Amino acid sequence: MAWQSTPYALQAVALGVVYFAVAKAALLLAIPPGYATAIWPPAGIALVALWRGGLRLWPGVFLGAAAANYTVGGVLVSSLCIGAGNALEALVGAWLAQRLLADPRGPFSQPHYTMRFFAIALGSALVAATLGTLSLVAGGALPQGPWMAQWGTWWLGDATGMMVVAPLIVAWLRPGRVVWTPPRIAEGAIMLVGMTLVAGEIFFGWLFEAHSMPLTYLLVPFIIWAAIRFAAREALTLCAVLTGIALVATVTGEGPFAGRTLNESLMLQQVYASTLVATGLVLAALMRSLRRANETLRLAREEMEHMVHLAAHDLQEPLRTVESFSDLLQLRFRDRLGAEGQEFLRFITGGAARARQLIEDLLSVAEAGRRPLALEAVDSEGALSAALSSLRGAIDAAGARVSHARLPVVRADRRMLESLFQNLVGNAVKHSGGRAPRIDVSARREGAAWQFCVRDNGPGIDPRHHEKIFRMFERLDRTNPGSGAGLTLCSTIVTRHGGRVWVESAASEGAAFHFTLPVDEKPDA
Amino acid sequence: MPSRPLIILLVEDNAADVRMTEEALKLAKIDHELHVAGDGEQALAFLRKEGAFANAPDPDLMLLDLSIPRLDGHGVLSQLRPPRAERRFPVVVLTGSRLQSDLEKSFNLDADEHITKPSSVLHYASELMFACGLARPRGGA
Repeated sequence: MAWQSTPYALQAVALGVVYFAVAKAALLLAIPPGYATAIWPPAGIALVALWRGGLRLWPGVFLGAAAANYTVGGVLVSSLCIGAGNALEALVGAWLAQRLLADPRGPFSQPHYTMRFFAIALGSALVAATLGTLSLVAGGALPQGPWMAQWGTWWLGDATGMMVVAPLIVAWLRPGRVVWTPPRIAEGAIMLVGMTLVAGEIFFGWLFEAHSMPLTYLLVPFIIWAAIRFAAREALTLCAVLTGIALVATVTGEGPFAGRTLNESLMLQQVYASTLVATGLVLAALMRSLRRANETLRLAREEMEHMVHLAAHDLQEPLRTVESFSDLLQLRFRDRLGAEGQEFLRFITGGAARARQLIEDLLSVAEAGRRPLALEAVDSEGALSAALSSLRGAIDAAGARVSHARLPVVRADRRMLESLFQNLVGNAVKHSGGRAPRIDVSARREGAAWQFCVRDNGPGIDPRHHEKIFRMFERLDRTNPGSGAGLTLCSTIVTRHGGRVWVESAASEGAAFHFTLPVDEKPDA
Repeated sequence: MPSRPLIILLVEDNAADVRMTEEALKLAKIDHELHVAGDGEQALAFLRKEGAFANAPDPDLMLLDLSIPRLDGHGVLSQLRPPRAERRFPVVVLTGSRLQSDLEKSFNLDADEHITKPSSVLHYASELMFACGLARPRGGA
């Protein structure tokens, strides 16, 4: 940047000139004797200059402020004191900001930074207001009476000047966060024009001449809009445009803030502007943290799924070697192994088979979480039949009877729905507690979702295990075969379809597994 | 029956899998001559009779593992000229798992058949018998 290579003296002088020009403009609105004003944007400029450009730039503030005030009353000593007060205010504010708002993501990137910044503004403004008022009292420019009002105006003017102006400049010094695609530009334009029109109506009565009504809260939604859909810079820019309109209206005696003394009206208007700035800043920071958190979560999830997938996949290879050579050993050396050797071999193959089951289940859960959903209108009755035919062996062996009511067409991934039924019915067959399993599948409409129920007459599940059973590799009954991944798979499948799965059961009363699936709203003709 | 053994090129880097393939071929009672290439580049050199493979025979069948070093199975197949229709030997792709992504990968390849390496030797032997059946007519002609 050209600014960084500019010699220090030139930087300080430039700051002084800018400060002087803005200060002269602001002093036009001063209360008698012409030093204190409710609007003091130079305070914000000075704060940012010293905060971002370096504390050593303070002489620029001192000279600019002293010169501007000298042109008011021509009293050199008071002007120098006021200049010193303003420079000290900027120094204190910038020093605190450099320490309390030092975050590489940006000085307003967290909601609480705005609170800190406002505290810095209110605190450092005490310096200039106190020194300035005292020097005027001491110099005799101010009668003893109204010095409290003078001090108050000075303090509020400086503080709000910092609050309104400094964040805006900081936001524009940093790179923008919004990618301006044509739709975004259109939205931004609608937002800006809309707010300008509403502000014009409220402050000047452009449309319906309702300009003295206290409707300033109507402008808050625009700031919220900017902060949520765009970022801090856009919200602050909107605040600046609004402050400009409100300022012109208030000075010309228009709008809801007018109708008091000019000073009071301006103070009201400045407090209003600062409130909007705070709203915009806090909300933009919240949105930013939310987006960042979502992104982190998404990446972490993808990373984890990828790792599970890779690990399970790579584990299969060595496991297959164990399995196939155990197989070969069994095939070729059975006679030479002897009874004990055969027993050991059975443990090896048993362990390998169990490991394979775990890996395959892990993979199927990971795959159910990763594979893109092929959503279509699926007849859940067909899906249930497919599941039942792959369970045929187990159903016959257990002497189970599966009944079902008429089941609806749902919007789902066919393969996943089949595997969901297969797991739930398969579980009911497996965990029958010695009785001949009776399983019933039903569904009923609950608002925009179908609620399915797979009910069995098994031993039931103690309510304190109702959440635990959906966890990976969690098994209540270790005498039954299986790895305990089936219900995790069910949960993954239902969750991916935007539904919910839960169990209703008491010990020894059978279990009813419920899950919801969205109703097929656009049937494939 | 042709009198000469079936010349098989196995492209596989895992010693255990090489041994298992040998055992399965033995179990399947396939009269064969097995050549092993440890990676994709060796496989191509073998087929092109380059360097150490100057005297390599033309294979009747290639068993190609997908995950091999240097040049993977996909790379080997894409370098094979001419494509399937005019190739003088069938290519059977071996995959490590029945994972959706592995299956999709091998289906997208220009291969004649694919085998998911089973954990049972007998199972593997029967798969190989079928694969060698693909090569027989050409080998015998």
